[in-house]
Amino acid sequence: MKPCPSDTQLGAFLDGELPEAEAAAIEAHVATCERCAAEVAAYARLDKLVATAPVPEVADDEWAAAWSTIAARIAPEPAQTSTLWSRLGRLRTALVPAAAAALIALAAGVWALHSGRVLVPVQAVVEEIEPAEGYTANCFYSAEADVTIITVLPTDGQEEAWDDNGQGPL
Amino acid sequence: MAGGDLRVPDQDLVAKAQRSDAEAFGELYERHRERVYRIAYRFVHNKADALDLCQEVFVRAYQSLPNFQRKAKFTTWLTRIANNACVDFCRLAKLRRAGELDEEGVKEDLRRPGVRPSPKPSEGLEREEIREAVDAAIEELSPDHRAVFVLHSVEGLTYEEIATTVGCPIGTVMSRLHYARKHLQGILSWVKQDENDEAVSE
Repeated sequence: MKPCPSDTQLGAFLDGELPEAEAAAIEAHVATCERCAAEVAAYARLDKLVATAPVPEVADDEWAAAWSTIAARIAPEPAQTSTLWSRLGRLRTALVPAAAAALIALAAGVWALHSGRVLVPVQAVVEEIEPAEGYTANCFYSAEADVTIITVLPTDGQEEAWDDNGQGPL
Repeated sequence: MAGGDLRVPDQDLVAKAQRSDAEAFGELYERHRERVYRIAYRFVHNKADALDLCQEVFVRAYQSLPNFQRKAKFTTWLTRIANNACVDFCRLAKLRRAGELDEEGVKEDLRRPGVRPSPKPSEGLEREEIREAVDAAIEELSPDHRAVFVLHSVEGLTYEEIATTVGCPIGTVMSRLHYARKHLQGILSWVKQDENDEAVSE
């Protein structure tokens, strides 16, 4: 009988990695050699064991959470804003200083007084603004003039601001 | 997920993703995340780490997209990234463990958590038991041996594919695979064949 193939060869035989002639020779050998047959069977068992060993399942929300992390990490540098919504997001922080708040109040007040147009409060937008603590945000939209006005005022002095001819409670 | 024939080919999605189309990359993520996770899990034996690794792999993949050659197969390319990330992770974990040993001196047992399954009176006991045994056994392999073994046994890659993925000659793949098999055989010999079959036949 020919000498036994090496275990590496037996593994390659099992994996279908040998050239046809070599594979045929080993197949013939394995058919008659108990030791080699046992070796091949053991490899096959091990492969099957590992290939079928369960892996803990991942729930849909876990996949989604993982994607959120990935998406955040691959996101480009924040692009220049182009929509009203994203501009509002920036205003949120930009409008914190009282001076800015007073200026906008002034603009709104003056515009409302001089135009005599009807301003419609836009609640949905206001909720997006989230002004700094101590301030109240309002957003008005006039369809007639197609103008949106945002006001951010100190909560306590809101009336005062409107009545003060734009001086504001600074 | 949509049926195979109707789906946009990976290559098309890759081309879009290369132009910073995050949605296209999201589709690639949905298609390949399970496979990446499975590889990662077999490397680290821990769901949380495997998910973290999965994220890392996709972030790395996205960042490397400009280097992706259209001729290459996306899965092969992604598997290579996954493999590298997993090997890195295991090396780091090993270093970290070594560091802990240096500091504390006596935690010899930490090195081998020695996951011995404790019998529980529930269904699916064998599957869990097998999973823990396989996890613990693979953990004893070095990252390089682990890589070859996982790609072969879990992913069913050919020697040549493994060589490409890992970046070593086929001869090295064969010898590493041989070593890993011998080692695991010794450790896993207590797992009975019939239990195994039971887990397989479902």
